[in-house]
Amino acid sequence: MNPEEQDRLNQLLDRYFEDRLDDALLEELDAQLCDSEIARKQFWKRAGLEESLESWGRRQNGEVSAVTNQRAGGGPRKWQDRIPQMSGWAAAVAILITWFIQSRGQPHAPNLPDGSGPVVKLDLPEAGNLPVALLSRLDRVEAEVSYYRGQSLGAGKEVSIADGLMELDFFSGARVTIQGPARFVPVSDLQIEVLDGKVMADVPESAIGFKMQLPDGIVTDFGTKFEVVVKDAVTSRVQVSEGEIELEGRESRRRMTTGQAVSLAGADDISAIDFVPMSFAETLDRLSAEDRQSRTARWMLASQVIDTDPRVIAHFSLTPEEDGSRVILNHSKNSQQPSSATVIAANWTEGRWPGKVGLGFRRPTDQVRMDIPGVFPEASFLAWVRVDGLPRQYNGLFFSEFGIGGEVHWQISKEGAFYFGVRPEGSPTISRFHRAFTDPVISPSDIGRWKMLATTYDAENREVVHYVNGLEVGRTSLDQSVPLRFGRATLGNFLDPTPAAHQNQDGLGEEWSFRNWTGVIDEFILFSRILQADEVMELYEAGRID
Amino acid sequence: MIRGFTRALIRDSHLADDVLQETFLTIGRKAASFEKGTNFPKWACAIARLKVLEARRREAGRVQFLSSDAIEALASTDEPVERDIRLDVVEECIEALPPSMRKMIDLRYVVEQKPTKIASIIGWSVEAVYVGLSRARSSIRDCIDTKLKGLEESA
Repeated sequence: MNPEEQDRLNQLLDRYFEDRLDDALLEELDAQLCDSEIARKQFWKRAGLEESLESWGRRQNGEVSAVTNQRAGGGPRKWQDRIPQMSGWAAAVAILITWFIQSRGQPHAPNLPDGSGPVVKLDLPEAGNLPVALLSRLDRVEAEVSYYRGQSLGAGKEVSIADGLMELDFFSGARVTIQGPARFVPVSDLQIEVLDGKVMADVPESAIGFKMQLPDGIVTDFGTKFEVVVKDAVTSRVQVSEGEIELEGRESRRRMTTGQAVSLAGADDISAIDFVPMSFAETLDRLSAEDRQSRTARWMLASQVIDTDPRVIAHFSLTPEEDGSRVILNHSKNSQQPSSATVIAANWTEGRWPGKVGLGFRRPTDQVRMDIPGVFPEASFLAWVRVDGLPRQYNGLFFSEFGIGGEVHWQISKEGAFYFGVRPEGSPTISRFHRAFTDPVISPSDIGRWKMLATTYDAENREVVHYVNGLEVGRTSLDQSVPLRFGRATLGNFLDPTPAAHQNQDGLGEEWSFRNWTGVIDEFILFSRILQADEVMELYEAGRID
Repeated sequence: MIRGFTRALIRDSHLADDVLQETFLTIGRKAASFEKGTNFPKWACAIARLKVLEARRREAGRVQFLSSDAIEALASTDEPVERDIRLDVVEECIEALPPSMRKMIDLRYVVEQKPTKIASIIGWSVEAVYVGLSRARSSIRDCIDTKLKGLEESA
């Protein structure tokens, strides 16, 4: 293709994507697309650019509202207008696909400038990692370190995100929302240092006096909502959307009230600029709605695959429709029994992500009961759990009916180790089980986090393999080949039919009889086959939170 | 990517959304028949292609379409829509634009104004807006290419 032809093609493509091709020109473009691979490649290249410009446009908020006053009707558009007119499953899958593609191979390496030479500096407390704030919300956060909802942030520890939104609840009550790329340091429950990023603070009465350290100034809050934009170590915007703040610049200080905005970028320290509404909340809502839908859709697709596996004995996926039910369904399409299980005392609660439901276990009575007939020489156990603590000697995941041959115990010890046991053939009721224990695999820092725990059992080869989040954490050879039975089995607890009889026996007692899980279980799958390591990893990938 | 694929072949945005919806419904229905190990994007694109052709048969009188031959040829091009361009790269490139170009890109893609409306906002002729937008896009395109090349080399 010579340069003139190239120009002509580009013109035609521009017109095509601007919707201003008449029939003759359309025919001309059409012919080129049919005949030339180069033209087709150019077409997709141009389409890709258009798509990314549109995506970029949709993502903008706040800063670009500078032009909104020129738009008929004024005011930023609601996010609801922006999503296509689809509903439910279709919309969910649409977002899923976008996610599927966008999430491939694009780890963002944060490349942020140094926040050099702050003019005024607040004192950092000595305490180091004393927790001062909780991460209450994360949306599409990309960072080199992984952050999770519910994590507490320590004083003086810098947080750097390349993209996404984070919401911090300081223990003083101040709520700070930060949009990446951003770098900041929670200094105390009443102070944050912002090195880079767009930040919105909402300060209730309990946190009046909250301070925000900027590269070139300090904001002190008097009960208000205010927003700040810092880029390349310069504060280009401080504005008050409600209430009053005091801003200390390099040379002067100024009280600011609702609707006022200033910049610290100019030569004359603090200079007034136009107030521009910034729409963090809308962005947050939109992103989290999209995430919720995409997450749920991805999980539902993976669930369909699991449910058609002929060797799934039980899949308690806990779908949104089952929220609050006493009876939960086994969603496996090929399993005759159990068709359902019964929730006893355990409370329905939020699962791995907003929109996913799960069952909370805390009390000795909290449990899910099911009846699983049959004998199984091979099995795999898989559960998505949130560990809220390991207060018991044995923290129960799944147990067979007590006392039957091939009885299995799947549990986590107080130390965070897998304790997997199988009753030996023909043993008395209380006897030493065949054990497949691991070293501790759950640490105190895992408390409050979601984990996928899995264990595979191979009676013929007498091998047990344990996994956490898709990775093997332990492998044990048993000395006897025992096929498993489940019978009237219990999820999230252990049923000792006669605790009173065991109270005073050596090595038994309360800690032996009561083994409820502490935390949430939001999915449980029992296979009658041995999952391979890559399958366990695939299941983890399909179910993981982020 | 499916969105990009469909949007590129159906310029009427409402119709494109409808077709996208049909596509995803079909993907949802057929999800169980999706075999592990198959290239998922390719599989999904094949479904989208059928839906686009269906829509073309139905709507060609009302909406402008490329010929079905051209659509087939485009759909069979390897890697139809190029791998999503990293949004941070796009953003950097947009931020590097001179102010006049930046304003046009904002008006076109953020405020979502048609070029005729942009012309009246900034007091240019409509044709000048088209030329301006085209230049802005080329300059973003060049910037992205340079940056992506840099990223690949440093990887």
